[in-house]
Amino acid sequence: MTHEYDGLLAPTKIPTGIEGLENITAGGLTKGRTTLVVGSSGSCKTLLAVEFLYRGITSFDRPGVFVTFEEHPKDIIRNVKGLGWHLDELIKKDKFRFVDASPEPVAVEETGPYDLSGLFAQIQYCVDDIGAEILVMDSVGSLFPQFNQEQVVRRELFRITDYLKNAGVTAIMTAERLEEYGTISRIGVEEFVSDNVLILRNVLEAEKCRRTIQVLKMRGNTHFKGEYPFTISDTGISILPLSAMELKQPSSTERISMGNLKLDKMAGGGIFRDSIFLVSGPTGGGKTLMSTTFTAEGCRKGERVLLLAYEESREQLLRNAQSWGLDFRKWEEDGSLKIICQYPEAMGLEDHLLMIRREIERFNPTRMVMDSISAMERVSTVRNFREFVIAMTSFLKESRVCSMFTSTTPQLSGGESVTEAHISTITDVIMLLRYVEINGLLRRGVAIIKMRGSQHDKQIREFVIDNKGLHIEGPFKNVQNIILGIPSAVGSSEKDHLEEMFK
Amino acid sequence: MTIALKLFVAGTTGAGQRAITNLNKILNNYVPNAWTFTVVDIHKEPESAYKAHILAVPALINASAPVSCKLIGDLSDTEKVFLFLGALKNDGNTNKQARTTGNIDREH
Repeated sequence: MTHEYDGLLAPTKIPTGIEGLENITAGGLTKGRTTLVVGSSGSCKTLLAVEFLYRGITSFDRPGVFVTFEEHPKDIIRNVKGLGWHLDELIKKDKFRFVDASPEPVAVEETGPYDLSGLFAQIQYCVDDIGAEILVMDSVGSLFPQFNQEQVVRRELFRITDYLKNAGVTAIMTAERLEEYGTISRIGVEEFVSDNVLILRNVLEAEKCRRTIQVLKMRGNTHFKGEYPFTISDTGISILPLSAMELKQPSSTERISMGNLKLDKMAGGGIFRDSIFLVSGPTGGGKTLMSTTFTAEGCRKGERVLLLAYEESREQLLRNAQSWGLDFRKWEEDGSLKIICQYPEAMGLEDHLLMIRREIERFNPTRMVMDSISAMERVSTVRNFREFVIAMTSFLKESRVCSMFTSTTPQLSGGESVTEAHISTITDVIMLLRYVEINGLLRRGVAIIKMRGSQHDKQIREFVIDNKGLHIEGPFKNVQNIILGIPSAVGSSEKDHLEEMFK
Repeated sequence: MTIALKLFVAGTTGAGQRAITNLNKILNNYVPNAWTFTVVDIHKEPESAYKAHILAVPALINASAPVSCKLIGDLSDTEKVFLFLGALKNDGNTNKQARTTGNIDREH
C-alpha cells in the first residue's frame, strides 16, 4: 500500500556563490523553498538578492527571475553595472527575466473586488519561459501600498510562495524592517515564509558602519548562529565567517630565520614557517626594527613579504630601512616586497580584513608584517577587534603565511595591552621588548615568553641598536622583575656587597 | 471616433465575468458605438499580462494610447467607470483637435 507521505526526502541546499554565505548557512539556501531576507533600509537586501541571481546564473547555470516591487528594472541593471554584472546581457541570453511590479506613474482606481492573478501569471510565465530555478521578490513591503486591500496582497504572496515550492524554485523574498533589533518585518510576511530567515543589519559602532548577517533559521540541517560581519567590495558581498572557521591548519616543522642569528638561537633555531609571531613592547622599544629585520631576511632569501604599516608613511619606512643599510625600494621593484601604508581609520575593520585577504591572495606572500596591530584597536570596539584578529590569524594560518604582529604597550615599563589579551592565545610565538633601567641608564631587554612546539631561551637578554641594526648581547644579571616593568638590582652583587660589609 | 479598451480577466468565472457584464451594460446603455473592448484571459495569454504589466485583475486599460490610468476590480462602481471613460474621451478630443488644427495649417 502506498501512502501519501511515502518517498519524502530531507530538504537539500543549493550554493549561492556569495562569498562566505555557504559557510554560515552550512551549504547555501534550502532548495525549492523561499528564504526571507529582512533588513532595515540600506542594509543591502537588494544587492544580496541580485548577487544571488547573478552568481546562480553565471556560476551554476541556473536561470533566474527578478520580481521587483520597488526599483525599476532599468535602475537595478544600472546599479550593478559598476560591479561588472551585466544583467542586460543575461536577459538577451534568456537566462534572466524581470517581472516589473514596481509602482507605475499611473492612476489606479479600484472599482470592486480583484485579486493579483496578473502578478501570479507574469511570474509563472517568466519561470516557464526560461526554465527558472531561482527567483527573487524585492521587496514585498513595496507591493502593499500599491493596493488598498492588504488581505488580497497577503493571500497572493502566499499563493506565489506555494507555487514556487511546488515548482521547485529556490527563492529569496526581501522585506523591510524598521528597527535593527525587534520584530522580524514590518508587514508580517514571516507568517507565510517561515522556513528560512536571514537578517541583515547595518549598525553604527564606534562611528563606523558595521554590516552583519544573521541566519535566524534555516530548514534542512544545521547552520551557524550569531551575527557575521560582511562588507561590500568591487566583487559584491563578502561575508566573513568568523566563528565558523575551524582550527584545522596543517603544521610545519620547517624553521625560518627572524633575521638575526642570536635571536633565532633564542627561539631554538628560528620560528616555524606557519607561526603567528607577536612582538610587544613600549614605544621606541625596537619593534619597528624587529619587523624591518624580519622583512629584510625574507627579501634576502628570495621570499615574498607583505608589509602592512599603519603608523608610518611609506617614505618614513624606506628612510628608516635605509638608515640600517636596507634597500626596501629595490626589493619592492624586484617584486619580493610589497608595502601598504594606510591609516587604520581609513575604513572599518571588515574592510581592512577583506583588503588584507585580497592582497594575500594576489601577492601570495610567505611572510607578512603588520606594524602595528594595536593601531587597529583604536578604531573599533573590543569585540569587533577580537573577531578581526581571530579571522585574520585563521586566514593567515590557512594560507601558511608566517606573520609578525607588533603591539605597542600603553606604558613605557610594559604591562599588558588589550591587543595582547586578545591575540596572545592565538599566537605561536610571543616576544617581549622591555626597557631596563640600571644605575640610571636605560637599556633594552628582549625575551621570548612563549614558543609553541619548541624549546626556547628563558633568559632575558640585552639588545642594542646601532646603525647596522640590532644586536643581541648576554643575559641581564642581577636584575629581576624586568617583565613586570619594575626592574630592580638584586642577586650576587648585593650578596657581594653584604659580604664585603661584614668582612 | 471609437476608443479601443482592453479588459484583462483571469479565467472564465468570478470577478472577471462580472466585469465583462458590467462594462457591456455601461457602454451599451450610455455611450453606444463610441467604444470597443477586447477581453484578454491571462490564463490563456500570460505573455500579454507580462507585456502590459498587469498585476491585479480584472483590469481595464485604454489600448489605443499609452496607459495613464487604469481601473481594477469588477467595475461594479459605475461612477468610477464613468469618470475613467470621461477622462479618456477628453484625452481623445484634445488629440483630435490638435490633428484638425494641424490639417488647417497645412492647407494654408
